[in-house]
Amino acid sequence: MKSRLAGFFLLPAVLLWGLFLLWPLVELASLSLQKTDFITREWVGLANYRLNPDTIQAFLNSLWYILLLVPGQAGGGLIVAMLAYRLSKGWQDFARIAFYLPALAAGAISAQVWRWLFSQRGAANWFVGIFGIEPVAWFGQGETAIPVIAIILSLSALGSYVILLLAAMVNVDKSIIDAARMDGASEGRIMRSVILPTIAPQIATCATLVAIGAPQIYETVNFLAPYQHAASATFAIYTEAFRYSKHGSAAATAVVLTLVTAGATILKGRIRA
Amino acid sequence: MKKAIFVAFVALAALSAFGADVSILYTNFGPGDTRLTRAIEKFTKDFPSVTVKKMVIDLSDGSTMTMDALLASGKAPNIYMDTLVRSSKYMVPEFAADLKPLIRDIGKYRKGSLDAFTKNGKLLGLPTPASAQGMCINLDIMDEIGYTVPDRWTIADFLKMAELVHQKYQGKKWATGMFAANQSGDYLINNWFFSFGTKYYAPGDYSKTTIANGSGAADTYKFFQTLATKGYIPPGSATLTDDDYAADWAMGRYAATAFFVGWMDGYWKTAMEQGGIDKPFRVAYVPFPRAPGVANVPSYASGAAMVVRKTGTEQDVWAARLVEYLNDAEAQVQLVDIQSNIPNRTDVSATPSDPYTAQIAKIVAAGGIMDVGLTNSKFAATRPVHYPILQKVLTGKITPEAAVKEYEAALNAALK
Repeated sequence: MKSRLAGFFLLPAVLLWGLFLLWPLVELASLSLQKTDFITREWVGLANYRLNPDTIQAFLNSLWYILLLVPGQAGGGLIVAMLAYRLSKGWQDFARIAFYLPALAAGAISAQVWRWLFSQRGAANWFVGIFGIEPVAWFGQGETAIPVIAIILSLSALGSYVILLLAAMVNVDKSIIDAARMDGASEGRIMRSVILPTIAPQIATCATLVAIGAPQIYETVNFLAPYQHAASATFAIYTEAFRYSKHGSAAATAVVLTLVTAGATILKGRIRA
Repeated sequence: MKKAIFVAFVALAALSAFGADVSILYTNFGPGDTRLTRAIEKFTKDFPSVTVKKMVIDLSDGSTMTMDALLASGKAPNIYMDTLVRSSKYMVPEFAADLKPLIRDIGKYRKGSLDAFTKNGKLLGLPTPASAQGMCINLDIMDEIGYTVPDRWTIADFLKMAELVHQKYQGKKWATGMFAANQSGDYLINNWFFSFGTKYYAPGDYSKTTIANGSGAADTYKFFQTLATKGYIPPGSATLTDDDYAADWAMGRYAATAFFVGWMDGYWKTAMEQGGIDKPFRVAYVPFPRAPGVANVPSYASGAAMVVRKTGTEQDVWAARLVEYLNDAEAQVQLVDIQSNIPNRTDVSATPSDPYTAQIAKIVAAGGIMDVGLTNSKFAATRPVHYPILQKVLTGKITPEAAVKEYEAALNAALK
């Protein structure tokens, strides 16, 4: 009886989950087996899973974004949190707000500012010009576009990780820190040997969140470098689907991205365990 | 023929007694574009039993997301009206109705204006007036260097002018503009390609490109390298974007470059607001210069088209009727006024009142419109392939011949 009642109360949530999460995934998998522009449809089996060079490049770009954004966002957030940890509560609050503010700015608006800074006659080229370097088309090729986008995203999302990691640090059991201090440990040693190991799960969670989010970046790429050489996996899916109307191959890429993301999440869980 | 028209008229009268729904997904061209409202009012007055449902395209991301979502949900509109970059995706026989038997005033369209929209004898889209480019000459610069652009000028004339500009301004102003940091500059390549006699496609065949036929494309790339090495274009053009190009034009820094009439006022206004210029400089539009052996250089033009979804029902007839209203003489005059476009109907004056548009109309009348595959459903995929190659050309990292091969291969891959 109890289990039936529990099932009854769970039903709305299960229906919503099925309608808005499971059913789209099933539809996505079905679409990935078709060649379609929604005008014509043809079942092509697994042909869409032979990823084209553009899609492969988008996954490689995503790997670069992960490699740059994990230290940029999670690592940068950790460094700022470590610096802010030693400040008074008032200054800690100030640091939280100051670093979180960029996250509140609309991406489309802040992208215009970055675009101007990295334009041919912008501040970035003025700066490199001091060292005798010719102006660079920062968003004109992957070698420069991906690092610049990673810097922009790191600066704009840093605040979230500062808040998460600083909260974890201030919640470390004070008695352990006091004990270490009584044993003569320096502040640096306390941070290195007590606080960081204690908050390692939170650091790992932040790093995983960044790694999962990196292949899904879209807004900044779309506004600053909407080209193949800077495409993330999500941007490539969008381009394939809505610019070239190749919805089947876009769906296949989305399925691959879903599986990779799910695999990374499971792997992270196992490592943590 | 008379009998067929009579039967169609009777059928239409019979259909109008029962009523129907026609839906249209559209984009308009700025606040002055009231064509749709006017056309629908006129249409519903003439056919009160037909209900017209309007849906506006979400253009925030420049894709066909709205249309594709409607298609996927089985709710595609009867009419899709948008720029060719997007509407060409739907000009395929599986989707589009053949408008030839449905549009009654088809004879009013100028000769050749429907050719690119006709595939295997079927008219799959109806073009609205298009805006065409010419070479925009800065007459103030010409006066300062003491040069008059000859009628039917040549590449040799252009290079002579370019050297005069270079000597006079020493890198403060340039003979022409160029940018390669994004795909928006495809019109620059297109214009110069046709100046050197290069053609993208054999007539009506968009399955593969023909740019490697002849020496025109390689000559164009050689010419680009000359422009870069001699300082006839801004330094670092490979890293410039469309924003830089338009800003330089508005500041009067280009002696002669590709431009649309419809762009001028907006960019001049910005340049004056920013204090770059006190007042607009004097301009005139001429054809692009010709390489030896090229008789006329056609103009680059971009426009919009209306596509009627094939349903096999009476809706096709009603949709085609509404398309007639949307592209009638009155609608074309309005679009010519607000966008400086060139009309494609014989019942609209071919010489617009605006002097610059009239100059463009004259250029188009002499040289025609270039075929860059705008009506091909794969056009959107071909656009991004050019600029990485142009970057290499402008920075001398590739030979002109290798650039042509690379561009040809990239285009053909996109066309598959």
